Amino acid sequence: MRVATWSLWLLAACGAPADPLPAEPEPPAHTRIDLPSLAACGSCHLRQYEEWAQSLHHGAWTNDNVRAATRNFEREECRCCHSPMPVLPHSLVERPPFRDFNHDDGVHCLSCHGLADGVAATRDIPDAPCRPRADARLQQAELCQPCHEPTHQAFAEYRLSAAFADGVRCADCHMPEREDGSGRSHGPHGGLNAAFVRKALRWSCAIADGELVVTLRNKTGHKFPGEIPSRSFVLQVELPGREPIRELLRRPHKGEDRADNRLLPDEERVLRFPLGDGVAAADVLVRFLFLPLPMTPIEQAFVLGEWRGDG
Amino acid sequence: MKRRLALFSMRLFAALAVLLAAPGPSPRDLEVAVPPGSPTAWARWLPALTPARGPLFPTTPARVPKGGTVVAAPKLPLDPRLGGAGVLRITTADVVGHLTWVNGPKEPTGPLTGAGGRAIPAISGASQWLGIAAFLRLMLHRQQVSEAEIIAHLVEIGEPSLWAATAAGGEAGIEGAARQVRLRVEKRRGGSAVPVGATPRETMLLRFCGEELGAAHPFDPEAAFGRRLFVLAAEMEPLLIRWLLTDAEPFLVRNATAALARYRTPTAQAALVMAAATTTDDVVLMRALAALEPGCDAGPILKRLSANTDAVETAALIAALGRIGASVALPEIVGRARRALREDPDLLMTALVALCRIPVPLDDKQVTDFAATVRRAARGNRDRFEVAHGAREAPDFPDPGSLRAETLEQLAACLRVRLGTVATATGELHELLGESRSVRAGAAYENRPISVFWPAAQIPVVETLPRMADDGQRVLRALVEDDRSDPVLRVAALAQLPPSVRGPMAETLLTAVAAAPIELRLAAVQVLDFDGAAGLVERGKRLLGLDAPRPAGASAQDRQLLMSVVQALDRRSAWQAADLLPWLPMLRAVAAAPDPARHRAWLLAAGEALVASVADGLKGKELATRVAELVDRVIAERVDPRFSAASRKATIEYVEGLLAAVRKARGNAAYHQVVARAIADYFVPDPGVSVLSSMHEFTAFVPLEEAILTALGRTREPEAVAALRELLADKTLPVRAHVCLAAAMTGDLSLLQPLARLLLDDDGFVRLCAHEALRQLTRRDVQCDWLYGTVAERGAAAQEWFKILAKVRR
Repeated sequence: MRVATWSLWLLAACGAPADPLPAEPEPPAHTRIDLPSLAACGSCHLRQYEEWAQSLHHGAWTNDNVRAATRNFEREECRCCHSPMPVLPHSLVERPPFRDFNHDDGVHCLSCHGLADGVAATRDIPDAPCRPRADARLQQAELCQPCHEPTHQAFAEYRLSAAFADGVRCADCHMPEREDGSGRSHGPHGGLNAAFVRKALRWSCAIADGELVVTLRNKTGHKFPGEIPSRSFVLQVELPGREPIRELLRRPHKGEDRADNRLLPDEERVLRFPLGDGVAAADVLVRFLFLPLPMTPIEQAFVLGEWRGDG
Repeated sequence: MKRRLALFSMRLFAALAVLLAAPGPSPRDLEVAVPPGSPTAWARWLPALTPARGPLFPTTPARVPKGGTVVAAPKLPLDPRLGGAGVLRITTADVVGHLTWVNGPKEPTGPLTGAGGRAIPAISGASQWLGIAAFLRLMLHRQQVSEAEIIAHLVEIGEPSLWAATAAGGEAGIEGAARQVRLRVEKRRGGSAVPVGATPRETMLLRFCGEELGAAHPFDPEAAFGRRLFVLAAEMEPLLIRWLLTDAEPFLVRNATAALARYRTPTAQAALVMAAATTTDDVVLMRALAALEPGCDAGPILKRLSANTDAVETAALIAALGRIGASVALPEIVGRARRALREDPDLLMTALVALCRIPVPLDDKQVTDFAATVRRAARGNRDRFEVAHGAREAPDFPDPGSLRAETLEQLAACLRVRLGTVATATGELHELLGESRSVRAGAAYENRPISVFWPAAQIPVVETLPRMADDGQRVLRALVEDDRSDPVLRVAALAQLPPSVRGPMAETLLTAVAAAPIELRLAAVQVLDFDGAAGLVERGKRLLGLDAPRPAGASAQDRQLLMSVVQALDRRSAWQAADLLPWLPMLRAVAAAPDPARHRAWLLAAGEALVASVADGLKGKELATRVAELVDRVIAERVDPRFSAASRKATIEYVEGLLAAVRKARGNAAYHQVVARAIADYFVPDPGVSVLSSMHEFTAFVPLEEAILTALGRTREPEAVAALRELLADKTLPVRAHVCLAAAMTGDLSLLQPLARLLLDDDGFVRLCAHEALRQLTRRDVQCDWLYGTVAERGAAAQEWFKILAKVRR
């Protein structure tokens, strides 16, 4: 339901015409979270809009995987983060209130930048149409916590990481500075971006003493795979004459009898696979596969890398 | 005499949904719901096209002559294919994350040949999920289902089951069943003969029949199997029997069985009985058995059962004999059931369900004793009948060990009530019903009135309730009215109520737009049609009138409801042309297969035009109208299932919102371009990382437009003739073939010339229908292979027609 920020009414006195109250002016677009982000902010911030439009923040309500996983948002606890009201006026610890209108916009510009009485930015710009005010919270990692901690628990993991200890914030990786110095990118720098995910994992392979030794190192400030609960990482080892060996790293589903074997933040893990007799190094193929969404078929996994024994 | 509950067959069934619409089951972490009834009946719930009964062009007057007739059309038994929403019921959205095998076979299966040397059609996502659902039930709820019946169900589905069977081959607990399915479906003992007709026409139609049989999988919910085949109705039936009897490619013979199953005529039933009795192809056997109706000859089926030692075949044979009510099979079934009591809980369950359906003579002591024995055994040791299985995965709500014993006790209670000789039986069933106060943990539907009954016993208990007088009726009514009960059960309950009770309920359901599930509303049409209720005409017309302003916005389910109404009133000759003409603009919007690229192209153009208009000052009501037109077109062309009549208002608001800053940003060309693109992206987004295609609602093909055309033709009114003349001139209409047939139904000779022009259409089926229409109108014929003949041959034949028509007096 559309929520108007203003209502217009007329009063008429009995028996004699009275002057109507002047109509209240429409509120400026930049305060209207009931408008799509494109209209509220995009006319001035076109570049940021176009970046954001490609991200899962924009698709938070309409993405097919999300809709299937939440059963078209019958799971109510998911709604408030996938169509959130502004977080800054509310709390950086609790989930934001649910925005029960304009759902299709997902995480609206004002969900992060909205204040009770204006717009937040990293600095004061009094002569800009939306007159943004500097708000230090916008540059803190905690800004992401209200939505990315409940269910997804990314923030709790982050607190255990070297990144947290070193003061590296979420935005430092996920909203990198643009090369032209014009600010931070609002685009899809996360699990849906194969190139980005490749940076998350460092790996190496070697064959020694009849074993394949695979070393994985998590370069992120949270578990890998991280964030969306059912993201999976599959290490696939193909040896001749055998079914491929698949090592699955994933958070366990509810009730599933397996451990959460994802890489911890900064963890380096060594996996060993005996080759068996007669297997030459050249016959060994290792693939590093990432499934960004729960229902991604294996054939469409991101290939983070491949290694052949013959180098 | 007990009134037999019999309803006309449905023409089409609801669309399937992987995830049920509210108020369906809640999402679970790993769960699948088990539908009511026997797995051997599950395939009957899938969307399926069926042929019209009787010849394509009736030879008796469309309207009942003054004074009426004394001959009533024979009423067919209730066809339980009343909706597809219950078939899958996988309540775990990310099941592929739990079980990697549901991603599919590691190696591709096939290609299997079987259609004249060509590969069989691809196995769709919908079919893949059908197979997955059945295996999931076996894996997660082994106590609730019979393994033999699950295998029979999958074999009935045929080649599409191979996908899931191959994928599940390594999963503990179901690997045996998967192997069985592969063995039974893959074995191919068949030839490659092609039946030849006695006349050129028959040869043409036999070839056409063969091509249509090879074009789709009969149980694929989205494949529209028989879309063209069944148009020619009764004329195709003997040709299908020819295909069934020919030593042809197994895939075609199997599909001929499935096609004949939809005819429900005595000759089709006789052919299916013969096939079931003699075939060595398991798919043919299962399809034939599943199609048998009460009244067919049970003798050959019983003979096959008597000599049978195969567990899956035995289960399917017994289930079929039960469904057809074959009293002659009682001794054999009871004998098998007694042995099963000691060694086979699955077969025991199948046999009890069958016994609940077969009329038992009042003095039949063996059935009475057997029912008492089962009751004693089930009550005596609750864990005795627990079926061992090796599944490693457990569902959110595992089956208790006593489940099978409870099911058997429930079935025995139903049987004892139906026997009528057990004084305490009704009381026992009352007791069980009395326990149905609380909802079972993890139940897919609450089914409060009968919540204590397990799925295998749910349909038998609904069918038994009429024998419990007022108390039984009370429970049936409660079930129909309980919106937290399974739609399948609610439909079954509605059919069991007497006409005086179910009529008013059905009338209310028919026009209850949002409240009732689609299955119930479809059943309401059937009930009112069968009972000859006058209210159907008025309410049916009102329903059509309600949707007329935005007909194309209707979902597949709504379309099916409308189509049922159109056909029911057509059978009563209740339509006037004025009722149907408002729907004709929809014919032009009938979409071809979804085409994202095409949609995106026109959406971009439309978006650019809108943006330009807004920049020039378009606003207010005019803007709202333009946006509404765009959204209506998106809905009409079924661009994305997310956009429908239900979401129309919100969609319009969003698009208006996207345009809100355009006027202010007049002169900002870059911004305007982005807005136009955003409008297109909103409706046809970049797919990005794709989802398993089948995690959407399946959209069955619903020939609503075709039904409207047929009904329009049968009105024979001048307005209908005028409208059809205009439609015949439109060579781009996808439904040209049906326009030809509708034209013939008018009987109006002024349509001859427009029809004749379609003899030269590019589409062979359109040419054939144009020819059939001309035959019907003129009683003349020009022999030609309209489907496969050369251009020269067809051209010459068309010239002959033109000469004939020149001489026809109007």
